[in-house]
Amino acid sequence: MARPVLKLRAETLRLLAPVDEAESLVDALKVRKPWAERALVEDYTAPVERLITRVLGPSSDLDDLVQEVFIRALARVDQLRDEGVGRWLGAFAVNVAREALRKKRRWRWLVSVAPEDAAESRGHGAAPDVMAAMRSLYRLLDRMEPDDRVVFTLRAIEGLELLEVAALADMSLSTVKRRFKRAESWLFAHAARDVLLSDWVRAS
Amino acid sequence: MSQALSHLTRSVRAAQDQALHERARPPVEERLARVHAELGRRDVARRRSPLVAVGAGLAVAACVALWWSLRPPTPLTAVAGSQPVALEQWLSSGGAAHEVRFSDGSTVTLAPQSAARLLHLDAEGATVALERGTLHAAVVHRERARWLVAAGPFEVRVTGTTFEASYDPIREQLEVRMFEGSVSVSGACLTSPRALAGSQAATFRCGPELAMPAPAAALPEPPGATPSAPAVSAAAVRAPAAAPTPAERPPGWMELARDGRFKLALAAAEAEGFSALCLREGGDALLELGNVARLAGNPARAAEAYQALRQRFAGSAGASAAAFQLGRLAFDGAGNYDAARRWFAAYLSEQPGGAFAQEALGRTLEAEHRLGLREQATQTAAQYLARHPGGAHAALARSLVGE
Repeated sequence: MARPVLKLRAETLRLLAPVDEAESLVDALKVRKPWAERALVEDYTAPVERLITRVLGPSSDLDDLVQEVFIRALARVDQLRDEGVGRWLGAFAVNVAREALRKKRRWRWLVSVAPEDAAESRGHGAAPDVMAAMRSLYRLLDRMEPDDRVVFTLRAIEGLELLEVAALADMSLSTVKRRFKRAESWLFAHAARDVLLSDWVRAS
Repeated sequence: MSQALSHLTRSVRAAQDQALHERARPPVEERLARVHAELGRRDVARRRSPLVAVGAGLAVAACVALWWSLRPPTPLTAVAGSQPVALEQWLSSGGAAHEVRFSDGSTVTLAPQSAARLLHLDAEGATVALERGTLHAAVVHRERARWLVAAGPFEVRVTGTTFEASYDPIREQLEVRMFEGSVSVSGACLTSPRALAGSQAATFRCGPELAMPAPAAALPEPPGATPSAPAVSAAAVRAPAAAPTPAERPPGWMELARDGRFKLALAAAEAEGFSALCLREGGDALLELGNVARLAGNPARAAEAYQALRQRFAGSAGASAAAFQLGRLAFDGAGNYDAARRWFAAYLSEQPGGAFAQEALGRTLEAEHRLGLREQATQTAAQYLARHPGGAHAALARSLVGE
């Protein structure tokens, strides 16, 4: 059986370990082969980080959230099917990000003045106006309902198709369409009134 | 997807991708080990859960009792006369002194013709912004007390003490006079915080016209004060041919800057390699280097140092101060009001309550006015008047909102 997305370093590891040549990453993960777990973490950390960052924006908790995704994935590896490791992990990533959003909303009444998030200003080479716009955009997104935000960020920032968003967010296609439309209209209306975002909206 | 938002979301995606690409991660073995350790911990916790449930019930009862005894102290309150003082409320003394009393017994008294705002109050202290004039503070000493007086680009940190602070926003000058206890004064234009205690007094300045004294007669301007010339300081010219002893070594750019000799300091920085310094120096030194170049009249070098600070120490307070200074350079030097407006917006976004926030908002207003952006200028003017009704740009703001 053809093995899905394994890159060079995982391939090298696999060659070093005495494994069945026909063994897939999925099969190897299910029997807890060390090379497969390492390949999973090595090859999928970047896509998981990307999905979480799209939903949450720059976050100083990113390492912890990524770790949580792999913990959940490895704890439920028996549920993994052959449809693709990427989508399977992506669903965990979106769920972890959504929980982080809900947690943040639950506790925001307690933290009246959030300290400046050092992670916010990462993006070393990015132009200051882009960094400022990004901060403003995520400040607006903070006021959006978490499920709407998940749908909007996956579709508009990550650029996924609506069907892919539905699969990752565990929603029906019609729900995704409805949420996206609502989020887009709300964001457009508020961005047009935002001092840092209005130029971006107008420039488009 | 609407075209109106696609430009924004594409740019955000590119910035995030770049940040993620540059991100440092621990080795994969370490990450995997952490995952396994947590999996093991959760497995043990799951097996113990029935016992834990019983224990948890007892623990909850104990926690409730503990919380009740250790519940956080209530935030301080402030009153002026018999009226409570709200956050952001403008406190103006007019012709007579104006006293604000806090619930811990501390008092802040504004001298006549002074203005201040209360920015923050919590159980440990307060933050007061002195906009102009003189403030007399008597802060009661308590465990973990944390008080702050912000005056323009300066901050006076206090734990328990009596002191007086006077701030002149036009000259960017702060005077602190101690009566009891100690304070620490920091600021964007100070290289390090300065402690004052006992009955000490000190004056701090940021304005170039005051901070830059005339060059001493014994140290004439070097012929090579321009960046391209070999920058040999006057002290270096006078140095003996033999290897200089530490005492005879020509002063470095930072020493010269601290003495207010900015042209000599810039020449010394050029001699060391200005661009190399931008890659090597720390955040505070880079801000200082940019200020040196700006005050020595070399905006290109100033911009180079500030840009290096923004890129290398993104997220720091110094990087935000650099954004403000870049706006200032664009505004005052090149007259590029659009660029200036964007830099000030970046600063305000990063440091909405920062030391330069009033100036940044005022200059944003002026830039929008000069660019003929009437609608934005009117909005900014209203915002400015709400925050700084006595500020330097208040007259312009009033004329724009039609007051």
